[in-house]
Amino acid sequence: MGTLGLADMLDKQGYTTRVIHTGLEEMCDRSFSIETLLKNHDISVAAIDLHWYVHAFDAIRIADTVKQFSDAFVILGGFTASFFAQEILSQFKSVDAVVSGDAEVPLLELLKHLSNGRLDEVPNLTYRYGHSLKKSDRRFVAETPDLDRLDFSNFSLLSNFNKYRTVISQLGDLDPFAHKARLKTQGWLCLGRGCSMNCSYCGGGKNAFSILTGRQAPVYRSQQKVVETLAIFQEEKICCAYMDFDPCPEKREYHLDLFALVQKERIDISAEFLLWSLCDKELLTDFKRTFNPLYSTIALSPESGSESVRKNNKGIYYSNKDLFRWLDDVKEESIPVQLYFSSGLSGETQYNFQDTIKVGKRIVEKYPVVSISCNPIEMEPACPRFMSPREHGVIPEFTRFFDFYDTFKRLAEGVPPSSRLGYRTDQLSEPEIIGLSQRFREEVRLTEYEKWRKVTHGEVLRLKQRRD
Amino acid sequence: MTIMLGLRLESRIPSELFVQAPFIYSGPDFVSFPLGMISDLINYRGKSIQRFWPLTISKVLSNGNLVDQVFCFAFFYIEDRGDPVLFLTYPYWFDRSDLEESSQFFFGRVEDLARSVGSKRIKAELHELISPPVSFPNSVSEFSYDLDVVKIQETNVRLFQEHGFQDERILLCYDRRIEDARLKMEERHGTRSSFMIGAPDQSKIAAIDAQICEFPLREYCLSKTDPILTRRITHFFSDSQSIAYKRDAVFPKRRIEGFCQWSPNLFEFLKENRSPIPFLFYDHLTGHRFKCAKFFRWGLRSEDPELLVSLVFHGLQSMERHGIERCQIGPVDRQQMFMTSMLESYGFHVAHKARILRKDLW
Repeated sequence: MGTLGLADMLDKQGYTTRVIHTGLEEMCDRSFSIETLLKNHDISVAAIDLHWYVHAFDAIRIADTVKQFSDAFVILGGFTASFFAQEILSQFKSVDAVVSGDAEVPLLELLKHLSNGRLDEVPNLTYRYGHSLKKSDRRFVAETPDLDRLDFSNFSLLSNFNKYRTVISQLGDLDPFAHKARLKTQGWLCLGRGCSMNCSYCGGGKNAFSILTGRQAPVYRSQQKVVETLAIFQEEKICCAYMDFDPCPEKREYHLDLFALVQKERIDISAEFLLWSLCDKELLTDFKRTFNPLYSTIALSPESGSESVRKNNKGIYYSNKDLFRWLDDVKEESIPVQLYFSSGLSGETQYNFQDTIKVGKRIVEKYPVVSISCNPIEMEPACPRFMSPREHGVIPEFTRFFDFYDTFKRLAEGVPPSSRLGYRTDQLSEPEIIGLSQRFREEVRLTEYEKWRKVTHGEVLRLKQRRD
Repeated sequence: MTIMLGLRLESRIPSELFVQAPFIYSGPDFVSFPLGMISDLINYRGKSIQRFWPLTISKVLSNGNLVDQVFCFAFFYIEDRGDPVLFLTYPYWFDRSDLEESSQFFFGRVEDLARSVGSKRIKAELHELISPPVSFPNSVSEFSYDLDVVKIQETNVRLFQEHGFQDERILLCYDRRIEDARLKMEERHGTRSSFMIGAPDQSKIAAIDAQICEFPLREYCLSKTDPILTRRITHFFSDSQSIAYKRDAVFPKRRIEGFCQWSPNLFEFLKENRSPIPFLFYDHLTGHRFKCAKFFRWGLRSEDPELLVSLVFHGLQSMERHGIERCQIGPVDRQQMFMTSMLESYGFHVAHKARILRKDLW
């Protein structure tokens, strides 16, 4: 999504730009290779996305290939690249520079100054300077007008966009359910950047944003621009917009005003809205009224069923009582709900994980759940647990970029990595953390299966008899 | 000026369909529907084939935009002979401005799809006469449109016929006010019956299903062997089934003489709840006051007027206890003269007519 915004910005400035999703290209054409792409296009700059740490190996591999088959200037960007800029440039000669934080102005300035070598003019840039590395003193942090200038919906710049919109899912993988019949097309909706909270496991929290981008407070795109994007989604037959930006859960006026504008403009689209904490009923009612119910869902990540673990790890705390009260509201509004839980949180034990399983089972039994999952937490660069592991009862295995790179290289090559999660806790080993998530899935799925078996076999539904 | 570059087929259900033509999906994996995917596999000649194919044909314009032309929820099923058949539910046309070209493309792609799995037959369901309300379910599939809202598109029949489809069946759905039907039945047959009618033992439902499947007189069903079609998901309400045994039989409960099952008209619930998968919110469903219900599953071992009346009467009493005022019964094959004449003699009239068409591929 951010990549498309950057590409459109460059395109509007007269640079011939294209976004290539290598995984998607391989899905569309098994013979796709970056070498062939480079032979067919004379590129001067290759900007490679290294936001998510899972791409650590692939991003460097692509950088190596670009350097081998072209004279292009190679830049990396995104949170993982930003955090490990110095290490990446020290270790991997195929990378020429890293843009840290917000990249819009830096990328434009870089293209302007590449020919004259004045890279110190480029904000947020770390680059090679002879045999050493230099970091620009200039800083750029995007504000609302900067975000509003971006167009995140110029899909003509994304190669094989039509395939993309049918196979992308919020799970992050391309087409994770290839055996299922696809009903919807999906697009990511940018609402803003930043966060006001510091969840222990999250590399995109308030402190992380400050370290990575210099951002001190969340920034929102104007609702008008968001609605313009939704209108384009509608024209492009993207029938569901995924919204995952809720940085200030205590005040949701932005979202309420956005919904009102969507209604006013009569945009007909479904929405998948990942809330970052509980909300009041007004938001749920408005959500239901605003979006086409066909694919609309609300998602929440309670992470743990143990209140003490949740309190230790989540930026905003809510009790199980509050959680169930919220679920009652969701059910009353007839909104399908998705829930996410985790294992490996700070302070979690085999014993208190039972609460997570208990809560998961109760939710599945009583509420209109369309998806409930539990996955082991992975170590994210710049998250509080990474920055102060001992404070959070964590013994890290991943402390450098190379640890992430090596793990994902091994996974790509089919060699077992020494650590998959990147840590263990004072209470639990890595296999135990993975085992807890597996146990959740087994037990909660059995409850879910039993519930629907009874319902679909006529053992539950009884219509109310009328006496009047 | 934008021009049309061509047509494209995609697997998706446009969200605008739900606004223009509200529907209910009650089939397998309905819980996954809001996530934008459903799945059921059929096995044919050692291969697993995805059953569902939500087909959308769109015009591709020169500015990159798509203009949806038609949607059709298609699925494969295994017919009684063991071969796969591609079934097309009622196709809904969004834009009929280039009807000939888009229909040509549609039928071509549908045939390609059928052949891709080795299927040599395509069937389709077209709705015709509608006299609202038409209760849920109104399709032989698990994808029912709210026909009180959806406008019937009359050129559909001509299009199918032009592309080689022929009539196979006419299916009827009959309607009557419950009180009127019940009074007529009491008047003619009284309240004594040589059949024992009651609710079936849910723990024995699989065995009951197995007997009913073989009844010579039953609702029209696409297949007796495909499990999704033989025991439909709409079997949700435990107090809506009636089973008949002969009163004077030596072992009365060994041999089922008749069976019927009804569903409340879930389209009434759809108007408030606005969800295509009402069973996800079954708590709300059970508290809703329904006005209409339909016998959608029924079967008789023989053409016995007393048996039919006893079963339906029992079902009508059950509906009345739930405050329901109108009842419907279908799908009745028009060739089932016993059923049509019996129902018409009790004052039932046709509320809905559907055609099943067929095309064999060579």
